[in-house]
Amino acid sequence: MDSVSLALLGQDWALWIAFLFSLLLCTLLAGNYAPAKFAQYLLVGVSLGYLGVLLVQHVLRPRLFTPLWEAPLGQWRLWLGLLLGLLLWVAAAGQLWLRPRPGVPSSNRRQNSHTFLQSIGVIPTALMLGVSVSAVLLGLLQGSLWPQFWSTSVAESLVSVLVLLLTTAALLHWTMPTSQLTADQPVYQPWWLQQLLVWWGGLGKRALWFAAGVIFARLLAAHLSLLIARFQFLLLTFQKSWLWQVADRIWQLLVGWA
Amino acid sequence: MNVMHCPHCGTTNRVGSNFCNRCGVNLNSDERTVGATSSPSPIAPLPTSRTRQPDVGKWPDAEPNEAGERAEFPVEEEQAANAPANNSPSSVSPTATTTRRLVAGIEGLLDPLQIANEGSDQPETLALPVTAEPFAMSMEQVRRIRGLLTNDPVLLDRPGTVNYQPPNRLHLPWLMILLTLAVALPILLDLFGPIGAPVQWPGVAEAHTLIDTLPADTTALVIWAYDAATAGEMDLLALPLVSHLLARGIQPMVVSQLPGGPAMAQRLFDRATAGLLADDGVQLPADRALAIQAGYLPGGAALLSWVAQDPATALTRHVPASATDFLRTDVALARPALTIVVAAQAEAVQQWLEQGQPLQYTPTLAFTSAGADPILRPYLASGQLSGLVSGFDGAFAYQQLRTIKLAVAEEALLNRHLALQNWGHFAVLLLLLLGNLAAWGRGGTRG
Repeated sequence: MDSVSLALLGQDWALWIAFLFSLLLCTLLAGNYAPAKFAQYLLVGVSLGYLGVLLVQHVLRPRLFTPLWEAPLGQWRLWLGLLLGLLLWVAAAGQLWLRPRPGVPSSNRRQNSHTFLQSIGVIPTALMLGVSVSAVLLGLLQGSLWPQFWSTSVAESLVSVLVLLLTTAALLHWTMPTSQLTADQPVYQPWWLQQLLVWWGGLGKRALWFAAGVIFARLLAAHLSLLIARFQFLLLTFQKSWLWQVADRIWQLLVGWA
Repeated sequence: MNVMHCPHCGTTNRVGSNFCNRCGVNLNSDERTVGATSSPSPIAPLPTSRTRQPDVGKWPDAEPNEAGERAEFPVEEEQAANAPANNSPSSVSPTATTTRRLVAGIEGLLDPLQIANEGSDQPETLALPVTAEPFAMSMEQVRRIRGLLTNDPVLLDRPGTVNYQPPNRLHLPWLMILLTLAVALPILLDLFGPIGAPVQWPGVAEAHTLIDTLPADTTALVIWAYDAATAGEMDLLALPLVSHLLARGIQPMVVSQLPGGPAMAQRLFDRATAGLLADDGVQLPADRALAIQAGYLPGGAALLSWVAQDPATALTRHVPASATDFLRTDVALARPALTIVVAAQAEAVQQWLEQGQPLQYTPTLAFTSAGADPILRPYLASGQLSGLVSGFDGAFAYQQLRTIKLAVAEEALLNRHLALQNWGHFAVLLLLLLGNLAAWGRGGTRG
């Protein structure tokens, strides 16, 4: 290995680690075997570690601890946030250490402590869930349903009718599959209504297949892009290696000799 | 409160319950033995003779044996099992004993010992309520239960109406290896053609025009919603956008709700800046930062409404100290003239459109992966999105509209990627064709 290759290897050590783990992850193409699992576990572990450091460095310290340390009075919002966070921490700790385990006798005191800690953890959990659910529901109404319902112009009313028809057809297919409609069962409605429902549900089934096909095709294109990018990365990294340079030199000699 | 005890497991149930809350036994099958009382009825003490017997748990065969007899349960016992039960605990007749043997066999399947022996000093005894006769079932019922437990379930009463055939086996590893070869071989053999021209879907030209007509020094809020996992596709997709923003002198204010998002954004801005600096025809502003990295924003979708309503306050609380001075200037305090969501998943764009845009009323552009396109297309049709660039092909079409080219290496990378994408699509089409031909050759079996 010449000095140039050594220098490249020394400078691009992060690139070489990425190269190695890309190779390990690419073994997923042949199946989820040990190299791929090892790379996945390491990736998850490193990601969680990074997230922990990020939360302490960029969230807790600058936005909570430092302002409270510098001016503890008058920061009731931050104190409230700290209190809710502590409640969640205590509840999580209780769940970890005081949780009744199968086959292990648990004293009444331990059970009572566990129940109490779980109950105080309900407050921040309920707050988070409630805020999230209300935000999602409100957003769904104001950002998706309402604008898309009213944005269609008269000229596009045919498209709206088609969308409405296909949506209701897909719902009908999900709630009452065509096989149930055509089954040899007592019919309580007029025959033409049943035929209409069969036709409508069948249309929904085909619409679902069509939509799934479109989404699958675009997902395939996205993942193909990821695969190509990874191969290009592997190739570019490999071209920097000593092995590639030797092989290239030999190839040039052979070509020149021929 | 009036309660009744389950004759099977002893669990306390409310009077009037049809089934036991614990074991599901029908409590109405023999009401006269249940004993609905205002106080718990005592479970009868167990006679010591009712220990586990070797023959307890033997089941009558559903089918006769070779001798044509049901050897384990003679006819007399079957008749005895059908006889009415006796309520009196003291008068346990041989008939009742026989029935209890059968009951013990059924309960052996349900494992009642652990339930009945809680607090008992006799772990080997069966704590059955002798006062009750809970399972006065006929032999036919017993055989049917056993058949249900041992035979494979029958989905339809009309076997033969569904002619289901298992689908042909899908050899996924082989498919993946073929697809890999279709992509890797052109790389190794330098087959970077044919390139062709990607289709310019609606939304690409609109996005380009909107950015191209913004005045210089305008603030644009950029929500960065991808990280290293999808960088292979998204970097190439976002590079023309970032290069365009910087070349136009627009001030991007980058925020991310993904932990790895800020680092990815910084990396791509550095890459685009290096490419522009190499171009003599581009003048980058020297008196200010090219982009403000507002960093990681925790809080999920709920925080987006705050960012939309009061971006200066929301972001000033979260940005690094080095960027705070700029955010306090008039330029940044004004509402951003444009919001751009760069996202690998459609959900990130939807979150902004649902939480932020209804409060901000600024145009929104989406640069997303190809997989997110079908979900976001209706938002473009409704006018909520002013432009949509999706997938690598969309980014290529976007770059074609620009007058300033990327760096030579980046342009070459885009061209090579497009050619390889074509090879990959060709391989997929070939696989679909061959698969259908193979299925057709095998007699048209539908999977």
